[in-house]
Amino acid sequence: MRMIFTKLVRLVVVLFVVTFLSFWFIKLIGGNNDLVAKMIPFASIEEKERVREEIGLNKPFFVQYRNWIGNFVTGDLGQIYTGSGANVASVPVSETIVKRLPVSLELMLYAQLLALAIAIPLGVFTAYRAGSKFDRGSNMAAFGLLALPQFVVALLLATYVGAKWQLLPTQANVDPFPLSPADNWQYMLMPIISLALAQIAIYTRLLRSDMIATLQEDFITTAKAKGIPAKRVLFRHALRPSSLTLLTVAGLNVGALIGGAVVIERIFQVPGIGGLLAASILSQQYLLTQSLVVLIAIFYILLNFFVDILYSVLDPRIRHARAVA
Amino acid sequence: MRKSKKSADAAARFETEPAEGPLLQVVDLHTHFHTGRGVARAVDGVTLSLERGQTLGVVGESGSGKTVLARSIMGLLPKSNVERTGSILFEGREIIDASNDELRALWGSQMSMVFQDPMTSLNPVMKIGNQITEMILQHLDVSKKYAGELALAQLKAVGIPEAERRLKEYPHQMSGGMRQRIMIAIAIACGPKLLFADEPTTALDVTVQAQILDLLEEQQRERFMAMILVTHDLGVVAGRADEIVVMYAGRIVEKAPTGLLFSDMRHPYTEALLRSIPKLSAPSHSLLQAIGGRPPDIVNPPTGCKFSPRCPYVHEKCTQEEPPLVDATSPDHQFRCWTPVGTPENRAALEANRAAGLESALAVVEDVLPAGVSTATETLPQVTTSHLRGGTINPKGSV
Ligand SMILES: Nc1ncnc2c1ncn2[C@@H]1O[C@H](COP(=O)(O)OP(=O)(O)OP(=O)(O)O)[C@@H](O)[C@H]1O
Ligand code: SF4
Ligand SMILES: [Mg+2]
Repeated sequence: MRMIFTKLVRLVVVLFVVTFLSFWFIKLIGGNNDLVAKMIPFASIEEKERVREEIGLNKPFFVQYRNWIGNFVTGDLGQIYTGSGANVASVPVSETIVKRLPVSLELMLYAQLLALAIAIPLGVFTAYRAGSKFDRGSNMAAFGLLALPQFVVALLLATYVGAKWQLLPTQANVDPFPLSPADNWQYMLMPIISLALAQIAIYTRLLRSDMIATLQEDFITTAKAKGIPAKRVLFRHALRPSSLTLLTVAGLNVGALIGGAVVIERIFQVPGIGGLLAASILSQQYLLTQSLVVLIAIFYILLNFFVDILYSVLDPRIRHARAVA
Repeated sequence: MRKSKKSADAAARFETEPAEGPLLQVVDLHTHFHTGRGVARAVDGVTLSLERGQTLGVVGESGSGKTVLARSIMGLLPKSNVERTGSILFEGREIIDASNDELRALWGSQMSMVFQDPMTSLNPVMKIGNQITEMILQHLDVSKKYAGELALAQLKAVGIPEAERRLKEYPHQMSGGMRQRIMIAIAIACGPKLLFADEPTTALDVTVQAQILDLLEEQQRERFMAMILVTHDLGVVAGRADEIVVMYAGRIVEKAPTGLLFSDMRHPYTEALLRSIPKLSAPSHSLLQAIGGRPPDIVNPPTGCKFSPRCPYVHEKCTQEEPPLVDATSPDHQFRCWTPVGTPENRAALEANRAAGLESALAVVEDVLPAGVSTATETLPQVTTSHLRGGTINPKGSV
């Protein structure tokens, strides 16, 4: 328990640093006054001044940060401003994000699950039969996949499966986007596969090498000498101690997945935050960009926090060592 | 239940019924590893047999092939680059060509093994209780609850205090000695007929070693279980084994009932092993004698007698021709030496080697030799291990 408490304190500190840096960087990019001018370039001078006032851009930097973070935790992420002349309208940033975020989370979750669902049995089996034809074949396939960028996979899928053979729709820009897997699998399948393929290769290779090391351990011979069937030896005895690296990388890889999602969502027109982020940068909606960057950072940090806790669940030695420390 | 049935099916795959006669008969067993350097003859023509409930001690230095022998008999070697030939009869049934599926019915339930290092031979991320019950459930037709009770009873039988609590703990929460007790509990949980104990005390504190050996002996007697006790220390098997085989470079160099081996030791290597047992009664320093020289390279062994480069009694014939395994005074005592210990020829070879300044011959300290081995009256300067050239093997602590 004390271990979790220390970790929580550390987590809060990291979150503060990250939000502050995101806030600061975006400011650096724009400079105070330019930001509004870029957001609504055709608005009248009075309107621009009103918006500056509303955002609080004329206040000192630290006051701005404090206000922003105060609003952020209550869910007020600011507004998206559009319009020209004296007609400037605004929509809350949170409204847009709430509509888009679940789509991206779904995409990443399924991509991750698909990758693990294939990589775990494959990694275990190739380790068990290391050096076999199957192992060498899967090894080569893995390197092939790693060499292939995600967007190439996505474009190939879109060209052949989507356009040429017309098996799946390539334009997922449906509104509202159906979030139930039963309704939206045909929109999600190709984006998920595009994101998952490279992960499958990475995860399989990682698990395979850790499994090979574990299978040399004495306790595996013990299990065998007890008359335990090979399948149980592999999955009950060897998999868990071999899965820590995989877990770490799977957690860190979510960063790569987010980056990948930006591209993949654009290619398949998936209405997720990837597309939104790209659009927000292009249309200079800096409040939206800022919110998205911070949200992604928080998501990433929280996820890796849970990965860290999972170590202790998987390995009692870590649990007890931490309890003592 | 489902699982135990699988076990039974596999057992039924053996065509023959268990037969009368010795529990285990190994005939001319060879285990060769194909390595990058050539063929490693880790076990090279071993023949032995073991009656039910008896203990066989297998003694030899590190690298002599004891572990490979035990694992070859049990069929636990890795599959790749290994070649096993010969015959292994367990209860009269040939098991050398049995598949893993068939052997799985024997592993744990008929024969099991206690390994050398208790720190690494238990699964670190599995509770002790589960490590015992999974095996019980695999082999016996019992409920989960009953398996749990059996596991508890096993832990109590091997002398684990607060057994209930320990069932829910992980290996790293226990000492080495306790872990080895747990390994023993696991190994005997399903009542095997044959237990391999591969240096079960080497990794443990000296104070714990005797306790573990006594525990093994006690459990063995209670369950009428045969045991193959592997050790590098003659002292360990001295009071415990019914019969002893001494191994050198994958071969048996001497084999005898325990009493006979100590009273009428014939092979120079056995004698050297005996000398390397530290004796509590003797003054320290002067008496510790390690065996000089290195164990032979089993890929390119010396020609002739494999012990010849280190033997104090070596003579010309030894380096040309390997001695066969011959009977001593009784057929159950066999040895492999041209000029066995205690013969005038042996004595003469030693004198000649000393005169020639052969290091191994000079290193022999006569007054440490046990009774029954010929001793001369003249006193020679005592040579301690520190005077020997590098590459000496220092036997690890013994009881
Ligand atoms: N898988 C393998 N491949 C090649 N050689 C091997 C293999 N396993 C064992 N050997 C060799 O076989 C020989 C006998 O090894 P073994 O482990 O049986 O010795 P040991 O008598 O048990 O020694 P120790 O007291 O150190 O346990 C050694 O020379 C070892 O290098
Ligand atoms: S006397 Fe010769 S045959 Fe006998 S052990 Fe020594 S070297 Fe080998
Ligand atoms: Mg060994």
